[in-house]
Amino acid sequence: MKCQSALNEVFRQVFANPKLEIEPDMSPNDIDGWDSMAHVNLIAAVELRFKIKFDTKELRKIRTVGDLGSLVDSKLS
Amino acid sequence: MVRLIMTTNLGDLCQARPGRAAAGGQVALRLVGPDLSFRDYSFDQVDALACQFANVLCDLGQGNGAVVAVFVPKCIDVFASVLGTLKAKSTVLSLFANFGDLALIDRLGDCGASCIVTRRASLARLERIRPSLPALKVILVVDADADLGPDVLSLPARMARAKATFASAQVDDDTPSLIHYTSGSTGKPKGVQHVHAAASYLAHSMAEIMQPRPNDLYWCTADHGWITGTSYGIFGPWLLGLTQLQFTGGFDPDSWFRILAEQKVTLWYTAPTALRMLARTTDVDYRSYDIGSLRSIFSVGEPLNPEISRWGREVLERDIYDTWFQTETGGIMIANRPGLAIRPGSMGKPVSSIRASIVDDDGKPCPIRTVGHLSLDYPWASMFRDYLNRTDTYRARFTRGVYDSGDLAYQDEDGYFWFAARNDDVINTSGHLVSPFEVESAVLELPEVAESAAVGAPDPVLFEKIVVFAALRSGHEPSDELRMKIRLHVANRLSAAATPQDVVIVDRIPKNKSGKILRRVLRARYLGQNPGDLSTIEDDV
Repeated sequence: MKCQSALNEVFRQVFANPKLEIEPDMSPNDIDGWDSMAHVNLIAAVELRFKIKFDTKELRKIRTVGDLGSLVDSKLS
Repeated sequence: MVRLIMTTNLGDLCQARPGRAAAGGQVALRLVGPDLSFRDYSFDQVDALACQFANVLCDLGQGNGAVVAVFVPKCIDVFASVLGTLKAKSTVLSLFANFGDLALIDRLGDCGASCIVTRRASLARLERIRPSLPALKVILVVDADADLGPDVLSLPARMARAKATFASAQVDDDTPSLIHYTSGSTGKPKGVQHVHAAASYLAHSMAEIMQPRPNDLYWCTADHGWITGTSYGIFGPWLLGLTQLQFTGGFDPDSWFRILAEQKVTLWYTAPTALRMLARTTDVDYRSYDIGSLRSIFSVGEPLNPEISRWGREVLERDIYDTWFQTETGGIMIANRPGLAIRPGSMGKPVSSIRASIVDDDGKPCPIRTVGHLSLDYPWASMFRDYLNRTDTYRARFTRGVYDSGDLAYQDEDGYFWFAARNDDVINTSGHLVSPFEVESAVLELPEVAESAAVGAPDPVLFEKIVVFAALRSGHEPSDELRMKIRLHVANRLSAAATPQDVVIVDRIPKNKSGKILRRVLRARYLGQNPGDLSTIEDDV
């Protein structure tokens, strides 16, 4: 993930955990508070940070940090 | 007809014994993971896990009156710890796994929880707030193979050593069982105290409204942090000997419909917000899933709008039966059900043992189709027995000789009830009651904010969305980043469910001459409506 560093900052802000270090294979089970409702906040924060927009089809494919990172990378490329 | 089996201790409901409806080897729980693989647990297995958990608690001195918080997303440990805690005659505090720091401190502190069941990912959060929780003695971690500290213990290690039998403590009808917290217009959330005696009503109401059959597969999508998730996501189906399915993944239309189809779910209890999200998902062809096994769909949490009823009939080819109850009532009070003609948008009719009425401010019955206070004759077995540490507030709910639900509604000439509005400023967002006071307090923690107010506004998906108004301190300017900061701060301090969907930056927050926030003025202005009488406003804003 090219965006890992910036994405990590977004995750830290969204989940209020300044020590969080994201890894591509992390899923909601690995990150405190990452559930369906918090996912909406995560996406909104990512869209704002990277000035991009996701459509609903893209959003449904996100299962891990890596899925989200790859999507961000593809939007920025 | 499913035979009703009552139990004295609610924690024993999976226990095999002569004459019970379900055989011990029958599947009690089918736990479906995010990848849709699943594992079955029999009634005997669930009971054995609950016994092991009860033994763990007692070994740690957490039996007989302790408050044990369950703070973990849906997994087998939720069911083992809830039932095990009840077996040990301790009280369950059921929490949403996405609660933030403030929400946790308020709840764990108010009820004096001494033990918490959680997962590794939540330990940092708990350690952060632990200085505010002097009563907390033991943290049991569901995904730690070994102890992580002197009082941060591996639950699996202790479960492995614990006996799978336990002589449950005797309870009487008033023995506390669960605490769920609910929000009011002002002040901190209130701890709603329930008792073991609720069992009879939960079984009776579920049998009457959902009309289950012995071979049904029942799926309740509610989280156990919500009263629906315990009353009808743990107790109700098992009191009736039903097999229930639980999904540990999040909301996803394709996964949900694959579960309905592939698992052949027959009874489905979900929420209007979820149904509205499904209805708005246009790129999934629901007709391509074979949901022929699905006999009935029920919903709870907020009023089910008529459009969704129509969507259910057109797309799912089924009626959706809306039900109404509250954290305080413990069980379904008013409902639509198979056999009762649906009037789209109506709450339905009361459960047969419940007498509901609409009364005016003096407690006198309102005429037909006149909005008044939706009230219930009491007692009933699943009703709450106290607001923890706030008995005066509890008593105030019964001042008209009936239980005042706090909802405004009316009754039509045929006995159907129709929801009109809340009688307070509490915001119902996706079925979660959120206190504007709690949101405002969280927003005020931010250094950029001088004043704040929160109101509910109609929303096509959430029923109501939370709108925050913030007046900034000098030197700070409105920006999308600040709005996002406010949104995330509320989510992290309270819960993701309390996230403001809109943040409006204003010069000042309108208040009356006593300093009370005039939320009705803000709500009206936000909706482009006439704010009405402004004579009490502090000064022109």
